[in-house]
Amino acid sequence: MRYLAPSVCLLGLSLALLLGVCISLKSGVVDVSYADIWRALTSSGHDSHVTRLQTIVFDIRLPRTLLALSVGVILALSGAIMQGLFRNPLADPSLIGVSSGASVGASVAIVLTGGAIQMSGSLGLSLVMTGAFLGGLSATAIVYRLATSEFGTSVTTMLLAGIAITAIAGAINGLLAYFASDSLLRQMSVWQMGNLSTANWYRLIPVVGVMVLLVGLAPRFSRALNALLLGESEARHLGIAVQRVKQQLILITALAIGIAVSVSGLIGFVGLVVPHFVRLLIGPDHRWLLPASALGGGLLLVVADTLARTAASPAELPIGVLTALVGAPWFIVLLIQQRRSV
Amino acid sequence: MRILWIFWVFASGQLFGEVPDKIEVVDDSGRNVRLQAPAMRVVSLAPNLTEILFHLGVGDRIVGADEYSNDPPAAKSITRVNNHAAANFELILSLQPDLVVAWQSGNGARIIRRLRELGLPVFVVETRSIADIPSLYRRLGALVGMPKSAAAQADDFAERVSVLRNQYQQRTPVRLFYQIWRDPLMTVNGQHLISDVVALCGGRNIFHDAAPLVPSVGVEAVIAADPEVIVSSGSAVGLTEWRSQWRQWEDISAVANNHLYLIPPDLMQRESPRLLEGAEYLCQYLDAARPTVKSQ
Repeated sequence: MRYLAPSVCLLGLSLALLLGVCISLKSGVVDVSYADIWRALTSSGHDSHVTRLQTIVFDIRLPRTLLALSVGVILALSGAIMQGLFRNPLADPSLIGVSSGASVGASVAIVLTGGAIQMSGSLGLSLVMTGAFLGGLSATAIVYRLATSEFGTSVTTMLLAGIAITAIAGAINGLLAYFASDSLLRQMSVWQMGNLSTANWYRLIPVVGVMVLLVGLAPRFSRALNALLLGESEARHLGIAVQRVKQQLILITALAIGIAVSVSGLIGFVGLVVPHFVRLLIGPDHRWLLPASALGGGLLLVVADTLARTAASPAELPIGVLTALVGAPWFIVLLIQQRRSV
Repeated sequence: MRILWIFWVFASGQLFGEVPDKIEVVDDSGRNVRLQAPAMRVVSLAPNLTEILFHLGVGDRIVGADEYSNDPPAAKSITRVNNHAAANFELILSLQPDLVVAWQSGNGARIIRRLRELGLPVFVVETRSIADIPSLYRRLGALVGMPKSAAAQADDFAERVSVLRNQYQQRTPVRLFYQIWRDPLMTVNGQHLISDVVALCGGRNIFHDAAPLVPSVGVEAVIAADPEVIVSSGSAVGLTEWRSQWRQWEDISAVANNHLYLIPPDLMQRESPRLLEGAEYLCQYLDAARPTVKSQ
């Protein structure tokens, strides 16, 4: 299969993302036209119709769309980085245990504080965020320790250890749920389903912050990741400080995933499939792969969230169901095409 | 050997066929529940059912209950046999119950089926409207051998419901958002018992037509439906904070006119005798908002 020119792909994805954001802002229970959005953006009058529009567009839809966008970018970009780092197409934040570690951390935070998620304002959320970050980081650290020896990091051991960590994390989550009180149990299970509906400007700040950090730092590593594709010793001979690159990337992705998971719950599938999809389109060069994955992840989640809000209106669907429904068929089509052209 | 087997099965069938059943009622899953004698050892698998059994005056016959049965206080000392996820079948069998009462949507079909396979008579309850409750009292009363007092309780319940209905149902309709969860926002649709209570009080559940029984909804959908009253299940501890969270959406009539109320969740969500107390609260809240409702 011939690859698309990377610049064409990036341009296409950017336009699609822009369009997706516009459609997401326009769609919802309340009818809003593009002219209305423009008026909400520009007018500052005290007309009650306009203030109502501003409430709906600014206070409800915009933070939610931006949250979907940021979480999508974080999940897909982390997936792309990890697949490069471990030279394994199956590597994904959920596979090496970061997501499940983060979810255990958040569950522990909910249980220890007796219901942090329902607590007022900043305190509850920041406790859950801290829990998720620490959980994700320690899961990654354990996996990394197990897999690293004086000869370098063994990818196989790391993936196997990740599977073990995921199993342990699942068991701890199950145990916590089993012994939790009635109301804590509901908090945990509702949170684990994953949802973006509680987005507000306040919750958005840490997620956008960490997304910007990740997007800003990722390009520095694209050459190192390209060199790693050849193998670790080859990369070392090319002058890459392999061990340090690994540590830095693991730390950044754990931080980003932890924050994203603590706000949106577990949303699967994005980190695994989006980078694959992009790689099938434009090839494995990380200089293009990383930004294209970021755009693709943001696009997938914005589209999925728009569908989640509108498909069963006025009720909302779980976002995780939709990321799989939207993303998986495309992925299968691409795999079939690739088989044909080989 | 095989002939003996068949003979035994046949004979036992004969045996059960000959003895007339003393008590037979239909449960909410449509099955017949037959007992040879009034139930003296009952296992209750849900807190609302425990409450009803105490209300009918047979709380002392409960030999096993679920982990969340906490009302009345005497229920707390009953042996715990199940929680949301699983039931301890060995423990239930060892308590030698002659009746198990289960809650369809709370306990789930798997646990109920297994108990039936183990040969226990299971009476399954699923209450979707207030009108079902007097009949539930009567049927449970029959199973525990106290049909008369249960009928009196049933009549009393029906009477109190009709008092509320006569007083409130025909008044000006009030649009209501019933919030059962905050993060994400969750409510109930028209199929839910709570929605029936809303209708009893002359209210209109704004999410009556949503597809799931307990739908998750966005703030935008609430703003679009513009409820005149918002009621949440919760305790007084969080009242101020809960109200201040709604304050940011001034476009909603209920917020603008300050008709934001709490009802203790045990009163409304448990499907127990205390539902009437919850209904009385709800009717008063809706009535308080009526002066602000524009007549259509």
